[in-house]
Amino acid sequence: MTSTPTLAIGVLRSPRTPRPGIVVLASVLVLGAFALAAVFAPFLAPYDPHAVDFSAIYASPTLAHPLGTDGLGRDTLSRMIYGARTALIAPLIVVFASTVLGILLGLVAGWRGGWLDAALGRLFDLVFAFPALLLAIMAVALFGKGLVAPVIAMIIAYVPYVARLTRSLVAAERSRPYVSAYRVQGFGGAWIALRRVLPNVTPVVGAQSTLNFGYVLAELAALSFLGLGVQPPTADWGAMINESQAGLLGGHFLPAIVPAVAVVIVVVAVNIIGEALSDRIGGGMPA
Amino acid sequence: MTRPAHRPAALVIAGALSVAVALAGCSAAEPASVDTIDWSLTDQTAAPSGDIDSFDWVSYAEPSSLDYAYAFDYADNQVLANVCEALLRLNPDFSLSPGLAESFAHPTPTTWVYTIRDGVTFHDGTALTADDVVASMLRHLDPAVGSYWYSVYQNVVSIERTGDREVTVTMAGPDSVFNLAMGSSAGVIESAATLASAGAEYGNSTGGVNCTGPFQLAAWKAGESITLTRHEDYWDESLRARAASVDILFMNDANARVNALKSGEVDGGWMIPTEAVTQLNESGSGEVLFGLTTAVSSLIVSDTEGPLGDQRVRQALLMALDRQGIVDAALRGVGEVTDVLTTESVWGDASDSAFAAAFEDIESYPYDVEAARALVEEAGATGEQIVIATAPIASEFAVISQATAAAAQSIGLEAKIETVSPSAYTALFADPSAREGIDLFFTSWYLSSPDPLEMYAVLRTGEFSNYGEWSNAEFDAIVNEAVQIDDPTERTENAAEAQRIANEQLPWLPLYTAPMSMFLGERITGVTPSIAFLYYPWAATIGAR
Amino acid sequence: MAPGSAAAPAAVGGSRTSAAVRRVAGKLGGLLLTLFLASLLVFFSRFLVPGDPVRFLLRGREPSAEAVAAVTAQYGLDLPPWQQYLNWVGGILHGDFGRSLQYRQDVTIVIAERLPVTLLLVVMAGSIIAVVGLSLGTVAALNRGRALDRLTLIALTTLGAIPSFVGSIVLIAVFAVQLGWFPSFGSGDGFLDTVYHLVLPSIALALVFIVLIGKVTRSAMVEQLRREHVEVATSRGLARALVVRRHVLRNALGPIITVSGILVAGLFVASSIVEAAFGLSGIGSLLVQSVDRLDFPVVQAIVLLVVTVFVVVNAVVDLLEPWIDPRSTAGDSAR
Repeated sequence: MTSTPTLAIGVLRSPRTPRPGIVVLASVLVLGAFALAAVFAPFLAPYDPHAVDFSAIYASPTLAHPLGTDGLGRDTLSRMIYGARTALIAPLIVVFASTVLGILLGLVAGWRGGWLDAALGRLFDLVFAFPALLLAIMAVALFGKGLVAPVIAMIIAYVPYVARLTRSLVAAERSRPYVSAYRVQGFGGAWIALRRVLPNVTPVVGAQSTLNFGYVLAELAALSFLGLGVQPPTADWGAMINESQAGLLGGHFLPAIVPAVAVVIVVVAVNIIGEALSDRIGGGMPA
Repeated sequence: MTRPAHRPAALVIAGALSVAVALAGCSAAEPASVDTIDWSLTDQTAAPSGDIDSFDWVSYAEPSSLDYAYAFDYADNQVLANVCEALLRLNPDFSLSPGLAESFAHPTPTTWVYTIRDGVTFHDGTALTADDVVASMLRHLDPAVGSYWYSVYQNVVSIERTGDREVTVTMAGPDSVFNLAMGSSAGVIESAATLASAGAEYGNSTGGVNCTGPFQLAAWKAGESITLTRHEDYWDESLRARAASVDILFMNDANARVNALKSGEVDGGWMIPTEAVTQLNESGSGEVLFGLTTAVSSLIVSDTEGPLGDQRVRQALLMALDRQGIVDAALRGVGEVTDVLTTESVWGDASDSAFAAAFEDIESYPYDVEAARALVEEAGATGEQIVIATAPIASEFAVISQATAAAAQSIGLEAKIETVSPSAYTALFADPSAREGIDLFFTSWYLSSPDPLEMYAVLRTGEFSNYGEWSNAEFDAIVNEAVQIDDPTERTENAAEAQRIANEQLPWLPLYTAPMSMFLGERITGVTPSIAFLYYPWAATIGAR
Repeated sequence: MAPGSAAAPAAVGGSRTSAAVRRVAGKLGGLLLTLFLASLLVFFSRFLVPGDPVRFLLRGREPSAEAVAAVTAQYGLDLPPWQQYLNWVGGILHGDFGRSLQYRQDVTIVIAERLPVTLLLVVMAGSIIAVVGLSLGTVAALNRGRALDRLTLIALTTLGAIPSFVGSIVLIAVFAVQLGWFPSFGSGDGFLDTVYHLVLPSIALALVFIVLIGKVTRSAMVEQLRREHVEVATSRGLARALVVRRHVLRNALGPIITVSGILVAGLFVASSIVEAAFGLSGIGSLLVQSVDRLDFPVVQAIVLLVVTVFVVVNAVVDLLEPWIDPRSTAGDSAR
């Protein structure tokens, strides 16, 4: 009895969608490969990412160095594999934390309404006034370089987006018949909100959040590119592009192109998966 | 609507990317082998055939200020040297000649008397007087100014105008070396009226400067360039500017600089990265020249409480370093291994015996890992850790930090490299707390006066730049005594002894000395590739080829 | 002729004006409130850092007695926090943002000298975004469902996945180094030379945002094309181009302009990346450089400026909305 209304909603929500296309599957596989690389880096990387070799600077791809070497003779493939760690884990933390916090705050705002909603709305407006990258740069100015300060700043920057979406969805759900049905049956407001409304709302919000992953990844990589995020000699795709700029004018493109391509591939893959999820769950703002 | 687009979109991207990777792979150069460069010192370039309308020069950074009190770095001084002048002139061969002071005297051990040249005008037309000299020099003593050259004036008790064109500097005790620093930015003279009216804006892009040099500051486009124009009423005919105007462009990116030089977009620049020397020489738009330097590259021992506190460990580390290998890898061979902290170029006043004592009667620390390891064991330091600080400032930094770590490990020490940002690295030289936990960091230390004691004065007990707080009573005594010896030749005997002690005790580990480099474009000639460009109006000597 | 309304038709017009005035006043109030809160955040962020504020402001520099005194005076560190804030705001309203620690100059001057390059860059990028984004979006909308639409969407998706620092590197590698068509560094001398130098940077900057405008244009126009009044106009025999221009485009402008608020702030912030890649001496690179050189007064000033621009542009867009799209106030019921 308790499950029927939500099931009905679930059925009504998701349009009759065909199986995920081959492109989406490919994206999942690609992302999975990068994730595996990140996790098992020490076992997969042929060289120590910090190992300098002055006899092999800017080497072309060979069996010894499948993706060549950079200006200090470090193996690009190994640095790419290790670089996947900071490239993928940091945005994951940002998206996860901002989604969790955003859903909670949005739930409270949308369910309770009133002054709490208005106050939170003002707070979100304030954070909206600061572009995410700017907030991250400010955090670095205050707390120093590295990934910790920017990650926290980006979580704060993205919470309002998630919260606003959650809030609208929750507010819309609040007026639906099944909610009043529960109330009539004597279920408490908090219980309805957490056990019935939230599960309906979460998939939609989650799907939107996966799209944020791409933005966050690009922004954190940009931060490392500026020298404010991951510091050399740590391997990170953004930092690698920064270090490789010196070689560009000498015609050494590979150390720059490889991490750039990786960033683009991951962003595209995540966007494809995110949009597929959104389509499937029928997400976005309710009419 | 978006899903159907993804398949072709993804394919397009995949296609484009593989093409890009292929292109990149094809265009990547063969691995750069470490081949060395054939180099020699150039004393003087050909005299110009005539004047030139203008030429462009490139600098690695914008001066943060043209205020002589804060002019301590290459970027600041290379511009300032053409615009402002000092009491004495430091020549390209590092000798000193009269500048704005037409003569000087040392009548008593504690006083220096300067006779100010007549007929000199500032760029705004006003005449140079003794009052300007007094005002300019007193600024170094003013705590509100916080002059970077304060250490030159730390023994000064008073600076007074003692005659129509006479200024007397009185020291707290006998000081024979103060005068030698008057050829650097410590001796620059600015108009007192300008200092008063510009106030806190003096030396920045708003206030500018009003000096006596062969060029005047015509324009300062923040972040972009500085334009200098010829000062028609310059007092010294022999150094009248050959160019009517000079544009000094700022380019932080090394490869952008090299490209600009190669393409002929700019006519020259100082301090060329050695990786670029070959391609620049082959470009056909000019040549790379090497000249006199006073800089010695060394490793500063910043923690004498750690394993490097033991002299034997320091000696061992120096012996474990393949310094010639470092010169070849980091500088393509453009440099020479050295065991002392000064170059021969600052010993102009030395007697033959002092010179020999300074450069020949010293330890030479040959590359010998076995002996080094034995020394470390003898000192009981096996297994101890040293931390080497480095920053992505120039390629030498990476080579040296890696080589040092490898050397340390080869003799039984543990080594850790700590990479910091370039700003944090600069802080090592200014902020004691930044040096905590660091055992070694690299420096290229140059001298601003023809005086070896300038280097050794820094290593006395308690000196600000004695970063490792090394203390040797005998050394202190010799250096302090030398400062009081008037006769330059006799003074160098003490300097030689100080050098001998430093070479034996190794408060800093001397690595190599690399010549000053410069690119001379095909349109111009006349300049001497010497490190004196920091204080000598090098741009005035440049004319048409 | 609302029931129970005792007002004459003239009063209806009057109440509309007063409603508009109230709206404007409300928006302005909201703008000021947000600015106020933002300035609080920017100023008090410094207090988040544990430890001695003087040590924080003088990080990496010699904390001589004079430097300490100067910084204490500039920030009023010996005063209570609220007074420090008021002094700071008071200074800003007079155009005084304090002194830069690295340049020993007024922050206002340091920023003013570098603003022109960034402004020109943003204007050029904005033009590219507008022209290319609008065209692509329009083409896609007018050909919706057909091959051209799909092709355009592919182009947009591809471009959108390229972050600006990647775009910069690729543009430098291909057009500056390999082909030599454009300079790779600096901003040139004189207006035309500067524009020439800024071509590649503005393209790099525009790439990501072209997608935004393109997609918004497309969906806005698609929505308009579906509407009744377009069908009515077309059925009356009006030329399609005329219909597009008169009815569709104008009505579609609304959502596009709404997005421009985010666009402007995003452009300023992204310019720091492009300026770093191309060695341009603008506000963006000044921001990064000041963070690196621990010049906090400059960082504070730039952040406040960018946020102010963003909030103001958004507020202006909000205000102009009813005039751009009158039906938005009446709601979608006016179909």
